[in-house]
Amino acid sequence: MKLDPQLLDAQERAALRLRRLYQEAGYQRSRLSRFEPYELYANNKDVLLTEALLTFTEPGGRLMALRPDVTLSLIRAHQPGRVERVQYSEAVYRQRGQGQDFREIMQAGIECMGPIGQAECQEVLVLAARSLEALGGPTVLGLSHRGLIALALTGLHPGIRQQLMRLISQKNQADLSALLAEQAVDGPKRRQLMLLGSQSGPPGEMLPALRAAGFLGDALAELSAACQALEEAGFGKGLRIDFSLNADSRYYEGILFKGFLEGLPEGVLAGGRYDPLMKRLHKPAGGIGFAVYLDQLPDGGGEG
Amino acid sequence: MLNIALPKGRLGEKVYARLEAAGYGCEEVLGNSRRLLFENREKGVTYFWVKAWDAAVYVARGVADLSICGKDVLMEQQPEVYELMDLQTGICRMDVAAMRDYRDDRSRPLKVATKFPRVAQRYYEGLGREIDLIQLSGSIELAPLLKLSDVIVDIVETGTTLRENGLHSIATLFPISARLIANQAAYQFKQKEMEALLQGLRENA
Repeated sequence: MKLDPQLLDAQERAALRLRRLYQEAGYQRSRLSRFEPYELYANNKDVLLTEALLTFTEPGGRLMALRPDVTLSLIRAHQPGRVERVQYSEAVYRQRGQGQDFREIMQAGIECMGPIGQAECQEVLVLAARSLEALGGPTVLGLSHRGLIALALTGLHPGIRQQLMRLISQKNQADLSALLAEQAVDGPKRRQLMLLGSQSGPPGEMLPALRAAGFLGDALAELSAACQALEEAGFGKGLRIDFSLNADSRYYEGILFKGFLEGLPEGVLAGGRYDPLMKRLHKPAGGIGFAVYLDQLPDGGGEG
Repeated sequence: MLNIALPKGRLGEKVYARLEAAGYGCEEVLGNSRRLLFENREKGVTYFWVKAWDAAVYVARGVADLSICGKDVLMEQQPEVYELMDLQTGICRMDVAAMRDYRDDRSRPLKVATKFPRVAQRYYEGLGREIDLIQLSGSIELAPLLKLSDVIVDIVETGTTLRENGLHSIATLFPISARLIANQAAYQFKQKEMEALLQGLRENA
């Protein structure tokens, strides 16, 4: 029986297009249980996107949770020693916002774990751009690097770092300026933090601005190389550098990114490098990946 | 096209006047018609009036690209929006206030009346003080007068209302002013238009 695509809704069509895209790129499907031991999330609550968990007790007495996150499960299953490329299409269960009801959120995505380097990271970034393209319409892929934010925060009191990262994530120049003045932060460090908190744009504008503000080193080189890889793959048009993206997320270290479709109120794709999370789960390896939030897609949207 | 939600009331009218002076005016926005949407195609803006308390919701949900919102509402609701500009208007502060003869009894939870429960909760958690939160929607100053609460957490402008009712400020949580907020996703596609509007607001402060 031939499948009539018109019978599928927007989420289902998108999930199939992405599955084919990831399969052709060498990412193997991974099916996961919807439940995990509660302690997996309880021990990593500081990095989750949800404060509360949906839990239940198994007949055997073990406390389980409905999965709020896929990456932690995939990291748990990862066998170190080789580069593992996995794709998934799974539901997660999160609160929409603080104090709000739980929702089932369908997401598709990929993870690349193991002894990964710049080549694998750029591969994942290009796949992120291809994923947005597959969803149709004008898109923006925003890149950031936690290493540059960390550089700008070096030497500042730990007590204000979280505040500064929150203000950068809000593009809140006024309060950022006031806090820096209150903390007597001036000169090059002030210029760096104000740049991160106020400017964003194409790599051609942002990379020179970052260099002029005194940002140097591996983080800037990695960000620059990532932009070049995306431009060479034909994804330069909607590419931006924007440090407000996930600035206050504790999930990622290193390069991180967020993807948008024009007309949708929130980002539809988010990802980044999460090596410290791998180490926290006792996997001596690197990891990079992203999720596409299928529930954000409008009905009838995307390519046929 | 920039979709702008204007908060009903003095604040929305004041900021609209600045937008109009910057060339973003729209016929009948301040008129008495029953129209809900106002459009200026030439300048690429659409306006609609919303309840001030709801402005951030319209922006977070992407129905509005931009709106104007007090820092008090932003601190309470903590919406996922960009705060692009301090409009330096609607200036006041979030204070703890109590009766002049009030003395804190630390042997029991502090009764706090407020329209801003999350703000109050976070403030007293930071102090390690257990509270009994009483959420009200208006006339907050009445609560300590009638002994419903020990203190209130509320907006204070000149302090006249407090003084006239025998209350006084005992702590300031944060300063408040009106902020121009933006939908984060819309900003990715409309940054140039938004920055042009911001510049117009700066020039017509």
